[in-house]
Amino acid sequence: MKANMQIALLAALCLGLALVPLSGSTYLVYLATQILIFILFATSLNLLVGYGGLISFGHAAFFAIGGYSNAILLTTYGVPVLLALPGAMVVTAILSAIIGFFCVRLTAYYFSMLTLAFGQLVWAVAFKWRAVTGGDDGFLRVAVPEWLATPSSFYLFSLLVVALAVAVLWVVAHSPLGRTMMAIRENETRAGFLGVNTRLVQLITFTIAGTFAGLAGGLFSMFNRSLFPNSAWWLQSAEVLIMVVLGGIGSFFGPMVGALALILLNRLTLQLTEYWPALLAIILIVTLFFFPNGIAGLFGSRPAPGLRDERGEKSDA
Amino acid sequence: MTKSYNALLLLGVTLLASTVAGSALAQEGEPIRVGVAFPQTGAGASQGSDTALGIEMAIDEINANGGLLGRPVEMFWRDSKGTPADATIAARDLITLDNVDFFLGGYNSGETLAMSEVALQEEVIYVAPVGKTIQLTDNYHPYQFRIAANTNTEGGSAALILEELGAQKICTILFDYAYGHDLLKGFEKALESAGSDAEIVTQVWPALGVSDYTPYIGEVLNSDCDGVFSGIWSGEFLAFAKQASSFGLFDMGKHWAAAGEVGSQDIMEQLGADMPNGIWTNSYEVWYYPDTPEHNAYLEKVRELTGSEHPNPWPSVGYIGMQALAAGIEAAGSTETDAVIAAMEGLSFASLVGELTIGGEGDHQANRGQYWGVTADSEHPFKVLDEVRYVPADDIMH
Repeated sequence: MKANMQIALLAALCLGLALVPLSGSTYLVYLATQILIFILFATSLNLLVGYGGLISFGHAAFFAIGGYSNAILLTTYGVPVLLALPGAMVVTAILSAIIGFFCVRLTAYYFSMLTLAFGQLVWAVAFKWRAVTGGDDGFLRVAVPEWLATPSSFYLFSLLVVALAVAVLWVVAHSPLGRTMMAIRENETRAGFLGVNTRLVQLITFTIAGTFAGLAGGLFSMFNRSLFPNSAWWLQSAEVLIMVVLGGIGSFFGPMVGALALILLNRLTLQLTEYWPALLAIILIVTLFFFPNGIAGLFGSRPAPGLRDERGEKSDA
Repeated sequence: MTKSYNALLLLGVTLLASTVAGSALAQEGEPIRVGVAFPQTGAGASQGSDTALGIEMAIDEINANGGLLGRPVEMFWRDSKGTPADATIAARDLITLDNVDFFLGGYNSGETLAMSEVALQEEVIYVAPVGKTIQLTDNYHPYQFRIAANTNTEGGSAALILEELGAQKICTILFDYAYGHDLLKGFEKALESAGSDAEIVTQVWPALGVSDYTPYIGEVLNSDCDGVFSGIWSGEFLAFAKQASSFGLFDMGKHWAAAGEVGSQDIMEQLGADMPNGIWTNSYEVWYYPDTPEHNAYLEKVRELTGSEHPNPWPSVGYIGMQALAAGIEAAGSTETDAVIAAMEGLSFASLVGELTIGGEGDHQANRGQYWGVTADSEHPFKVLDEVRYVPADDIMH
């Protein structure tokens, strides 16, 4: 798919999505908001996993940091949302950079294990720091401003924020920086010899991914009006990773489809069976063995160049 | 049948973007729609299912007696999965997809608080039949009602029992998270207002989910306390009791008050002979007390539905929660939200555990007490509570 066609498609999609509140169904508006937030969350992780080749098991940590920061700025300090949300991104960016500083020093499994450890550390802080986060009782009564109080207005706001954020991530992924990330993913040594400061690029990738997960978390805290330590728990990290894998690692739009598919499947199957976790496991196994490029792969979208055996095959994902 | 119907409905709504909302304006003779959200999967699934069963029982009885305000009551059940985020989704689905007029739910504190936020946002009455966290009342809003005992009542009744047993120096063993700290607050408050001269000499705070209690047991062993207040709840108590027994902690003659519903039938059965004798502990309800016609009739029904000769207390909490809501609707003579809120404030109603009264504006907490008793051998393969008594909540719940 050509880049400008992708942009046109996205713009059309956004316009279509803006019509959802016209359906008059609050249920649908809530569902769409939830999907939007997780689309941003999954897309941010894809930058790290798909483009950077860095598999994080702790991405929910940044979702939670952004969520708590936004909730605290809004509620505890009464900061207006248009400053609170960017403020939450700044906080998340700083903490992502600090955590990333340690994580990118390690490679492969060790990187993944360290992200898992940091993720659980963030959970522990949210769980224990009762005075600030509310601990296990959660952060309640998140002060959502009057103009975002209705489900529809919040949905449209989320749509705008997510669309802008995804556009920024698209630009990053297709910029020289994005190409450098992929070069490092393919051959770190060679990229190093070419003069790339590999650790710095990985740190930047890690920080950008974390920051946008934080933005998703910020939206989530306003969407639910409450935030709990569970949002930093490793299961949440695993869930968003599954969205990325299911949708198609490395394909820019794959994880969006993955987020949509996982949420819809989850909501639908829960009404039919209580064995959703077992079903999810089967879906994952089938995906990994038979559709390694995820749902996006089914529709002809290839992963970013050289991600797997098709190494060297030209792809303009 | 209902499940696949719901799924079809969900599918239709999701795929066709059809509009079901707004069609639910209550009309004469139409069912009163009551939503129920408890874990069907994940942690708390069995307790959640049993609580929902109790609500279903109460609704069936109401319908058998001609319904409420001449209208039948219909129940809608969604899975809250044991996590706050999923509880939020479940509560929202009940309101926006099932168009319920009222909802009950929440197994743990997080679920309860998350659902209460939804109730506030959607302005739909929410009844909490299980969640105990004092944060619910501290974050009061008019759409929430709690029929369960709160952490003040639970910690407070433990204090009253230790006081009565004559404990002067007290050790506390509480989990280091919200529930443990809230229990301690209730415990200290009750000691103070009872004018007790007992003091807390040792506090140990195991982390939630810890598997090795040895260091904490050691501290209590070395303390000169003559009473212990523990808040190691239900399933966690299993590991704790085994380790503490091996150190002889239960044989030192310390008075013991174990909060966290360790006296619940399901926990008693899990612990079997590992349950120490002679410790005081609580339960939402026990099948052997009180021996009243109302309670026995209820128990017969639960036995019939669950096939269990010794019912666990979970259906009772759902049953009482639904009794409270039904009484509120009857008293209001309407299902209109403001009318039902006004009717429920200060309302006294006949419940499975006797008359209960719901607090007024700014409180909305029922004066639900707890059953406490001392563990003792029985003719069954599990221990039972002896000297069971109902500790009223009135003086300790605030």
